[in-house]
Amino acid sequence: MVVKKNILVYVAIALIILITAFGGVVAYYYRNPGLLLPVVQKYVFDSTGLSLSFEDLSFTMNPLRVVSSGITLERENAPGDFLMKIRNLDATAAMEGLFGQKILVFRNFEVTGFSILISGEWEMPEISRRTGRSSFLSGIIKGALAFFFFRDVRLEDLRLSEGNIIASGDKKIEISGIKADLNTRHLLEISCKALFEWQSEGIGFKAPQLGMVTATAVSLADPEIKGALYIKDAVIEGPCLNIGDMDMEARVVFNHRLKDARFDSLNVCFGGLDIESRSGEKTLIENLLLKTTARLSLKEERVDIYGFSLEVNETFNSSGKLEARLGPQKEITLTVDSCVLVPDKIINLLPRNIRNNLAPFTLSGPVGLKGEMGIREDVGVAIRCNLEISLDNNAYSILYDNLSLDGFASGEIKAQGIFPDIGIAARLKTGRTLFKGMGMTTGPFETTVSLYGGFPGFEIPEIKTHIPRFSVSASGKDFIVDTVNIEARDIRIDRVANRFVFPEIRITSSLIKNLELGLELTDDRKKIRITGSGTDLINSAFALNLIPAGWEMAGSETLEIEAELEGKEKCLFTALLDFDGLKMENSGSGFIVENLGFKTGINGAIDLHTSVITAKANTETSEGEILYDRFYLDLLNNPVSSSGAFHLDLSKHAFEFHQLELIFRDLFSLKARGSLKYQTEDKGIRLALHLSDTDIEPLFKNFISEPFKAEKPFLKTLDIGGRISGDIEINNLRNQWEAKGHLFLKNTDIRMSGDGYSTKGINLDLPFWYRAENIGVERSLEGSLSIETISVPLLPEQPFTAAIHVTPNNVEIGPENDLLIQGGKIGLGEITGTAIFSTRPLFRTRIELKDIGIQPLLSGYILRPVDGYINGTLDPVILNQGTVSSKGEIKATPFSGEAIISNPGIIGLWSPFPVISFNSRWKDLDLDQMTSGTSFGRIQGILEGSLNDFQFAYGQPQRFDLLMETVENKGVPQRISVRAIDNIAKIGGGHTPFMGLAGTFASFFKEFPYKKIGIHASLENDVFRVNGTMKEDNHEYIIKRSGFSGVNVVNQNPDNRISFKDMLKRIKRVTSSEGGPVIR
Amino acid sequence: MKINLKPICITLMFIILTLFACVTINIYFPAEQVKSVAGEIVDEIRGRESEKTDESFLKKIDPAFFIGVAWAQDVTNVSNPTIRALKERMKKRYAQLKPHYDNGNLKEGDDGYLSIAKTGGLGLKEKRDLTSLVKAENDDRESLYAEVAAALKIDPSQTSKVAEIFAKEWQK
Repeated sequence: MVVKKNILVYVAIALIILITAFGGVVAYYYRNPGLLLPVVQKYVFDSTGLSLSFEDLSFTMNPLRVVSSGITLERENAPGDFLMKIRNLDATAAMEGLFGQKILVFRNFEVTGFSILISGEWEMPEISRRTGRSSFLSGIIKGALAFFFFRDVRLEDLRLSEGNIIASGDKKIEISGIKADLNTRHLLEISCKALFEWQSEGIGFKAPQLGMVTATAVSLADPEIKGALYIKDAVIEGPCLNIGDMDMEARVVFNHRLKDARFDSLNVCFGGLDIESRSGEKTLIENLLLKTTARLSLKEERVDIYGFSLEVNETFNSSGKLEARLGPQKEITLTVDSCVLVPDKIINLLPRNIRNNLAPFTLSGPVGLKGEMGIREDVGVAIRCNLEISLDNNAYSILYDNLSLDGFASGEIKAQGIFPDIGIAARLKTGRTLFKGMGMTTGPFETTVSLYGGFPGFEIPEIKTHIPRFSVSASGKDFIVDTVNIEARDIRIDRVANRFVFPEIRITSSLIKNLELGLELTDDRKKIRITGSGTDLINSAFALNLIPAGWEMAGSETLEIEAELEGKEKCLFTALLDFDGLKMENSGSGFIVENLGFKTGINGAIDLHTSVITAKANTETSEGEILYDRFYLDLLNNPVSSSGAFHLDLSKHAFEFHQLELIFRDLFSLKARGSLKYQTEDKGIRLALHLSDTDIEPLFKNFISEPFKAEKPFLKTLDIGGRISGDIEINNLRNQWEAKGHLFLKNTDIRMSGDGYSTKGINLDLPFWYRAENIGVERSLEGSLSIETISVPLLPEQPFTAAIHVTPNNVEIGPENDLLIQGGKIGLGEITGTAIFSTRPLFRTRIELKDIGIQPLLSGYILRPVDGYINGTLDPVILNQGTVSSKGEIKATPFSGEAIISNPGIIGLWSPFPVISFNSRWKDLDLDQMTSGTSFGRIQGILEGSLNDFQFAYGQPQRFDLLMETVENKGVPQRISVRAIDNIAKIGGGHTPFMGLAGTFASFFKEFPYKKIGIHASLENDVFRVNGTMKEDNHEYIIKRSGFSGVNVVNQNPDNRISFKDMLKRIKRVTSSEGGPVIR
Repeated sequence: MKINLKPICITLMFIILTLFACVTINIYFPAEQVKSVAGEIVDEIRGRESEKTDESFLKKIDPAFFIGVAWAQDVTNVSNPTIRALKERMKKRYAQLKPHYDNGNLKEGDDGYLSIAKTGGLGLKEKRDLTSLVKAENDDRESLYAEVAAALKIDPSQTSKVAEIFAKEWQK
């Protein structure tokens, strides 16, 4: 207890000593105020490192007044960095209040002309503050000072004028014309001009009017300042943003102690927001109005904007709030409660390059937006968002070249996540969409699409489009396609890799069905794959009028097409088309295909820069039948395959193909190469075909014998064996066609069964040359014909050779040897053919018969020998339109006389029944030689006559006009046997004249003398007319007796017409009768 | 007074020309004869019994009593070797065409020519053969009509009329 009392006594004594000492110090400085100046200067220097000086300083203690001029505050060691000058300062103050609770009241505080100059890294001088809690002693001192001097400071009248603050350097600040007045109501009004320039960043801020009027008295004790803050006509300039005519006003409550500022009714109006893109393009946003309530807490280092409303004309209207933490962990959160933007107006605010990129796309109508966005600075900067965009029947359109897509879109797009991992989910539906372009026009259609993912990868699980109808215009025709359904699934998009994958796009319609597309697009690879089975290509082709009217087609097909863009200029492609059960028939059934199965493939490349396509193609049939006119092919037995390569230069309008091979298995194979130029001055076609060495027999059978056997039955009797090959070049230059080449037969035998016609060992090099217009003749094409053996009835087996020369449309065949015939020869002259490819070809030659024996020729028909020879020349012999005509005579010398055949010819050479025609005349024929020993009966005398207009067809005479008369000749008796009389009468009248008395009379004689025998016979239309040539006393004599002896044969019917059948019977009776006449 | 004769002359010339222009040229065409011939030929080709009986009872017995009549037998047949050959070929071909007629595959046109009506049920090879047959038949018919016209001294320009008359016989 005693110890405690002692401690209290000692403490009390120490306090008394300290207070006494402090009071003494205070009393000392109070009595000697001039000694305070060094203390203050030292305190300022120690606290700030600045030296304080005065040009003039005077003060009085009662009243307490300080008057000073030329006050300078500057950094001692770097005087240029910071300099503060006050030209005049006049302050009058007084202590008010009870002792221990006094307040220093400035009755008047006037500063005129002050300036602050800061240079370099213009950081405000810091006042060094002790950190941590105040010591007990300093607390006692502070308390003592407040107790003995004043606890608070109050301004009753403050006037600042002509103030300037200038901070130079990269960041330049000029606050000029600073004026502050504290009126009698203790309300402070501050105004100034402000300029801020950040030169390195090109940022500037100018506020010609910036001020604040407090709403309550300013007190150093009360840290809260309320007032109205305003900025007028401010300008902000930046490298890409200029804001002009910016006004701001707000009610501000600033709590200095809490370092908290609250802005109520903060209205910011931007008269013009001029945004300049990097490319120099400017975008002007006018009338941007921001209304909000905000709080700025310097202590908490955060900004809260409550309930902002931001409007830009009718373009943009949003409301929401913003929270910003500006401390070490900066975080800004923007919450949009509602936002309505008009895209077609917003787009005008975007830079031109973005506008250009978006130009094909327009979206109209209000688009809703709500959600939250935030930026947080932690380890790095994290931007998060949770936004939702909604469309409600917004009209949209896409225009690209001549393509247009218009419609209405509804749906939602959600974005959620932390940048860059922002997840996107969208579900959109478009309706009333119209597409127009590429000759296609759709009716209104609908599309639904859903999308998920986050940049850069997106997935579109499904896109469905239903187009009820669209029309296609091509070549002036309109085609309608109904019910088009397009479904795309599992689409993957990678925007970083720029990769778009459409693995499955299914298309069905009233035309094309079951078509599936796959698409993969990357920067360095663009690949498309089209597959389909049962795609109904044929019906589609019908619907699109791609197949000629009247044709019928059916079949199923499988197709597979792949194309890949290699680099930017080369496209590789492959295509496979597999038809099964294809049926085809043209309108006249002239071309029919049944059950055709074939595969065709093509692979190649397209040079997109030069527009050149090079490709190889092959086709192979597996089964089926083809009928073209009368040419039939069974593809199961004779499958057809082809392969080849082609080169198409679209820019030069040139098409070339080569190595083209067409193989008809077991029949023949063709190799071809050629070129085509179109739409150019030198347009034309060049085609070269080569028929490989081929067995001729199946070719003849398939393409000649079988097709034409019904029309030309003799073809069935032909057997042909050997080899055939050929070459042909076809050119069309300046619309003039030309074809020339050679056809080769090797070791070919032709045999006609039954008739003994045959040729063996034919070796033919047949040139041919067709030209549409005969323009000059260059060299000729040379060929040859050699036949080892010709076997023809009446001719001995013999060879034959000829040289062949061909010029355009003409041919010359020069036989190199005569044809041997029965001891004589048939000489063939040069055979010339002109216009041989026209509808009226003309062939001309010369035939010379040399010493041909008659007997061998007639040996098959007449048993008894006939002497004599045949000679003569027919020149020319002309074949024109199936008619052979000739000029000249052939002279024969039978029966010691002379027979001349003139102008022989053939009518209808190519018809089934050619007609042989000629005229003939004869004289001095010895009838005795002719008739002796024949069943006809002997006649003696000399015969002459003629046979005109003779026609011979189908092995029978068809027409003639025959005149036969005997002529008297010295030394030649004229007698006729009874048998001959009987036969002549039978032929002429059908009955024997030797009946009754005539028969009795004739039975006494074997022959009679006659004066003349004259018969005129004609045949036409299967009707014979037989008349006598002698007319006397109203009688027509066939045989006139000599004097009183002999027999007259009289034709009692001048109109003696006999049918062909009857005549045959009569001749048959005559030729078959071996006995004498029947005497009745 | 001077009379202008030019218009009068022109009018007279016009009248004269008109009168001459009104002359009708008739080309002889023996339709009944062609019809008769067509009936005979078609019947013969198709193996039908001819309805015409041109042999009267008297003609059957005349060789016994009227010998001389045989000399003056009237012959009106339209025939020649070419026509006979054509008929022979067509007769043979008809045997091949008959099943197709029966199946309705063939159609006789009003122009005197044959055409394919339908080919259902036929293989391509059979179609080819049928086409060949029809082509051969029509070629022969064309020749036949020309020969008949020539035999009857009908102008070649009237051959189509001959064909049309034949058509009615083919269609029976």
